[in-house]
Amino acid sequence: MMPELLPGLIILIPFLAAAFIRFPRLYEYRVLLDCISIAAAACMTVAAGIACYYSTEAPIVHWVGGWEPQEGVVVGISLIADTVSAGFIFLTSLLTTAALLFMYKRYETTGSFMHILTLVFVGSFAGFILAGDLITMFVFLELMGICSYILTAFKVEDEAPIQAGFNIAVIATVGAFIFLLGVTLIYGLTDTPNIAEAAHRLSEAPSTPAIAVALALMISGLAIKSSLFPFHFAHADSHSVAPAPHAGLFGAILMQAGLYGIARLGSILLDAPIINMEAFQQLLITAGVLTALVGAFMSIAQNHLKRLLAFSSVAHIGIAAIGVGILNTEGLAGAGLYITGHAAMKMSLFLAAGVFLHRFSSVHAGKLAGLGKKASVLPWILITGALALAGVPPSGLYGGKVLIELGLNEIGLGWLIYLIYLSAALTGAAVIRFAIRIMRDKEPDMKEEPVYVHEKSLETNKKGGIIYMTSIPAALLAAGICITLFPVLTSGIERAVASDFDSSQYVELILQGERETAGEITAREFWSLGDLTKGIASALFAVIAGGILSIRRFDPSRVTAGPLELLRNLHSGHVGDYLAWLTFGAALIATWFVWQL
Amino acid sequence: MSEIIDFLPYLVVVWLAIIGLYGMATSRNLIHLIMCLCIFQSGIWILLLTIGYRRGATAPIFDDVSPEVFAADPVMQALSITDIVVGSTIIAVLLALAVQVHKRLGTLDPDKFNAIRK
Repeated sequence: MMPELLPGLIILIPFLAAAFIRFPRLYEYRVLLDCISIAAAACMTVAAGIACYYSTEAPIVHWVGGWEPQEGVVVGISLIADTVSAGFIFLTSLLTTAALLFMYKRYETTGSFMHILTLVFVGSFAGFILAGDLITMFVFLELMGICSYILTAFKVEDEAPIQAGFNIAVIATVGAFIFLLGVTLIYGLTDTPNIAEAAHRLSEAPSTPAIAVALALMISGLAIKSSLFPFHFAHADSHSVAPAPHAGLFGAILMQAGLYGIARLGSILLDAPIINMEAFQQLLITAGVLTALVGAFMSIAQNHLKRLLAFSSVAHIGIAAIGVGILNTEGLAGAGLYITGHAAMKMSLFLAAGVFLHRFSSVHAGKLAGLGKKASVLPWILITGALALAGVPPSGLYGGKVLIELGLNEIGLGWLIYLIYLSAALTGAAVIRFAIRIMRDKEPDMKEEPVYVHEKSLETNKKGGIIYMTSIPAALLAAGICITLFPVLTSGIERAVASDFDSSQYVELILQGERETAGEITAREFWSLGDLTKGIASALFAVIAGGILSIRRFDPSRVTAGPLELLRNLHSGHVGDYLAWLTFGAALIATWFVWQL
Repeated sequence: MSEIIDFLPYLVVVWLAIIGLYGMATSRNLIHLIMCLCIFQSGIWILLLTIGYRRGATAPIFDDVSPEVFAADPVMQALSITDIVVGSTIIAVLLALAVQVHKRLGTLDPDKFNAIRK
């Protein structure tokens, strides 16, 4: 077993499986199709797990085709599996396995395209995460994007998916091209696409507006992919209409991939006296706070479960962006733990929405009302997930917030943690409000139902397999809610972040071939009384707010005036509006970087 | 004089990016919008070729000339081809969706889209 081959293998497995599925007439045997895709995702999980284990000693660097650096000059393409990247891929392929297991029963008539797109999506995700140079990053970023656009518009006979698919395709493509503009400028300034070499050369260069513009373009491109405010509009639409397991994958890892890119480039490429780090920090934290608040307030005003969860993903990526924006070890580790905890929760909530769609053909609170006992455990899955989203200990979101608070205290912005708890509690309240409405209300209210509620073109007449399908989100929920209890995970993330996001160690690793092994760190204490109180208070707040908002008189979705209505009207579904926001945001980021030079 | 000429392509890039974005944001027709995306993309190709360009250099094909010969930067040329492939894939997807929009709604005007909002 040669660990150097693992990074290549991780990318190859899903692509080979995707190609093999399309073998003539194979797709007629539905069981074979599912077996191959599930086996591929499971193999990828194992490979990523092994890579993660090896990389705790030293990161695995794979030079494609054996083109190693010649006399300190990079001539080839590198794939780097360090603990952070391999761990992120492990998480992703685990969730993909869950999604494919769910699809086995849910989508029995969709043919092979959905499986192929899922596998290519996860393969290119791995490529983006492992890539050691900017051009490879761009190619995989866009390949991942194309799969996500097609999956968004998969129900191509319904109106809402076509609209959302078109919007996300235009917005995210412009985002990828803006990223490419930045990459090209960096190449022009440093004569290399390799991240380590570019960082090394930039650290010796004088700081000029050209460098600031190039970095601003790259950061805006990735921010568009990670749906930070004001780039989140098209993403929220896309997650509302994509098939449930894919909406879960988008909310759990696709947006986070963009944030991973920002963290990587921000800490490695920017870590040189070429740019004002404080400006970068202020920018990310401001964007994160705005994203978290907008997402949370939009989320409580939704009656459609998938759209509610889509805005809740937006709110939580905002919180993770604050963690990344702190730019110290606690902040980055907090964001890592937060993303891990959130991924399990969001995936299981979206899969629960998928079970609702399978069984009752709707995820709209008005239409599902009056289910009572028929819904069995589903509302309880929603409520448990909601408590975890609000940050009840010991979920990963609780541990992440504790670390983010430590980081915020270090840079003197400790008060921001209350905004974080508020928006997290609001996203929890939104889900609890939904669960209470479907259990308490006696009569369905058909008038409220929006047009994007159905998955018409994917419906089957078979309604079996409910227990099998419910067990998948339940298992994810059970695993996800106790993440902070495992010190191997919490201190593992912190130890990995401390060394993997260090610029000089990264440059040493690529150009010299080795770096110092990561030092041991003392395990963190997550169970101080103050933190526990905050976590539990936040969960209680979610329950109470959810209860109050589910009363008809206080129903936020019925508000017809005031700031909430204004905010809702901004989400117009119009591609021109979204592009205007995008241009405004990207121009603002570029101006800020040049001004703060 | 040659400095001005060296600088001109960057102005073209900025101009194409701005009119492309403006056209997309104000478009009243999805096909027109896709064309504006192509214009935006053309700006990027010009930037790629400008950065790879070297005055007086030959094409980077080392089949029958010595590798020491002064040639343009092949990385940027390869990247522009990659970008053309990526771009045409996206445009194929977008055009297919535009056809589907016309089939469902009978119009290509994005103002008439209101299946999903708020």
